[in-house]
Amino acid sequence: MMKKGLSATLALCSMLLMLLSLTLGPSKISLANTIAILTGQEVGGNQGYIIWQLRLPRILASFFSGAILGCAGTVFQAALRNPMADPFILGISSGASFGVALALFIGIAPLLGFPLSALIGANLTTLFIVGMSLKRKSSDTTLLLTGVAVNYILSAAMTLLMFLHREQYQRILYWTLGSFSTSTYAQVIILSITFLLLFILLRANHQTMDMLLLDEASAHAGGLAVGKTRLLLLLAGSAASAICVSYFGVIGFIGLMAPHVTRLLVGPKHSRLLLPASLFGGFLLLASDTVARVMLPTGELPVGIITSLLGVPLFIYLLRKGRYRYG
Amino acid sequence: MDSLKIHLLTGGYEKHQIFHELDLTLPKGKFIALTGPNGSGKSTLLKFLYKQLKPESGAVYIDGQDIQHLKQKELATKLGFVAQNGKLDYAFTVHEAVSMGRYAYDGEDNGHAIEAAMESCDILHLQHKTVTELSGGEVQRVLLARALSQDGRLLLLDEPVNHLDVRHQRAMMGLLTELVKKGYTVICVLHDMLLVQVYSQLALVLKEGKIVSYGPTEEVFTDDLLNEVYHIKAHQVYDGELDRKIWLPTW
Repeated sequence: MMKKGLSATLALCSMLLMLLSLTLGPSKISLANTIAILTGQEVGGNQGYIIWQLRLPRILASFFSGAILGCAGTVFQAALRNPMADPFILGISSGASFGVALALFIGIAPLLGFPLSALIGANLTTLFIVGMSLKRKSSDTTLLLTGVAVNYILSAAMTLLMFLHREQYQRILYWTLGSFSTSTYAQVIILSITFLLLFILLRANHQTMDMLLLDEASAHAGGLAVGKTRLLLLLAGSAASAICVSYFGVIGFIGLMAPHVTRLLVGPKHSRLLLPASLFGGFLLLASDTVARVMLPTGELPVGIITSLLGVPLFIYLLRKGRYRYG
Repeated sequence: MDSLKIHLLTGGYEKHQIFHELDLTLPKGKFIALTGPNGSGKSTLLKFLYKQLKPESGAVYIDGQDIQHLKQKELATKLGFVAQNGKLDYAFTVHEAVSMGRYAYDGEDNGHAIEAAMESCDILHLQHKTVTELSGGEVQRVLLARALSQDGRLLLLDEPVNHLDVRHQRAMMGLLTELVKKGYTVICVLHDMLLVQVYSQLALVLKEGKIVSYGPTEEVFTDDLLNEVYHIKAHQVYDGELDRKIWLPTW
């Protein structure tokens, strides 16, 4: 297992990708000019504006969103003992976007704000999914099917809201596709704080997350109050994911891929897993958004399409593989 | 001295009460087999002992303390548990898996306890291997070492040899016997009546949540009991190694 240096490598790769991503877009800006702009030198035209005001906030927003989703995926997979669990697959992200859409529809969005509306929607969905899965001691597959059913119900409800509230159609549709095109520095600050809080919480509880990978009886006898701990960690993960959804819409599969791939490299111990899973999540989403941004000659693709193209094959592979070993 | 007292315990699952005023005292330092037909409440009784289930009424006392008054981490320092079909389906190393038994000891230097537990179970040489590479017998020893590293003197085991071949069953039961000699109390759910008779000092036989018989194993096992509990005929054979008779089912 490749343990040492993975986080440093991922951090370096992410920084290089950020630099590359800054140069890419409808306006071609050379690497030399990009570096000059970043180091405060004067460069002609509106290149400084493009770098500082358009591309950099978007790049940072996609990176921190990916880091949050990587972290959230790690906690979902541990707390539910299911390597296929992530906020998107279980319908938590849809719950967040439905919360925003519903708040818009009934007119309380200005009062609550998008993040809080998303957070309420996400956490109510989490409580529902956890309640369903734990009450009936359902299998891994039942849990996933419950998530798929929740996703369907919430998608239908979103479509209904769009139909009933046509003037908000564009805004609601935006949350179902996912895009970083409206990123701001204010959002970057909120996202970075959210990531730090989630990471610190999970890092402080890394042994608890390890214990959650045991069968419930052994974890209990080993000193863990399993039910309460699991719920608290899941609510923290879904709340952080909800912040991302409230700003940029539903972005799937990062929370599935990042912990999964990283676990293969560093093993299942969460003291080693959390940081590289977060960094890899950030790297993946930044790469996906960069591709979405530059792939078409004009306009851009919703980033959710790229992450789905990457994530769905892994998801199918895991389903076909059946019972999966963590690591 | 008593290790464990179950006082008028009533309870079970949400819609299915298993025990009604179960009353029982188990001594320290003995190998106690918990046996009976499927669905008799053996595993459920263990769940009350490590507090996964809460009694509707009555109490469980370990060393005189009502376990409902202990935090889960405090209780974890008094006992260790090996689950039925316990398996480790994640690629922790043996050392990491055993060290999870020290979860209740926040921030302490756990190195000695982990090493001692691995040594007791003869898995020190495997400590850098991942648990997914191990045989069934080795995995059971890792699970037992994890329970031992909790540093409690009471060991609860739910059918620990279920999926093991005879050689590994023998090794595991021998290991438990050695632990009893070192002062541990072992309460072990067992289905195999041969293992119960060969290894346990005391046997507790349950049927439908009630105690059918409890006492020294040679006295508990009788033709009448086997007929009453399992509805089978049995016969006795003399075992020269053990120098005593044991009951076997008549096939």
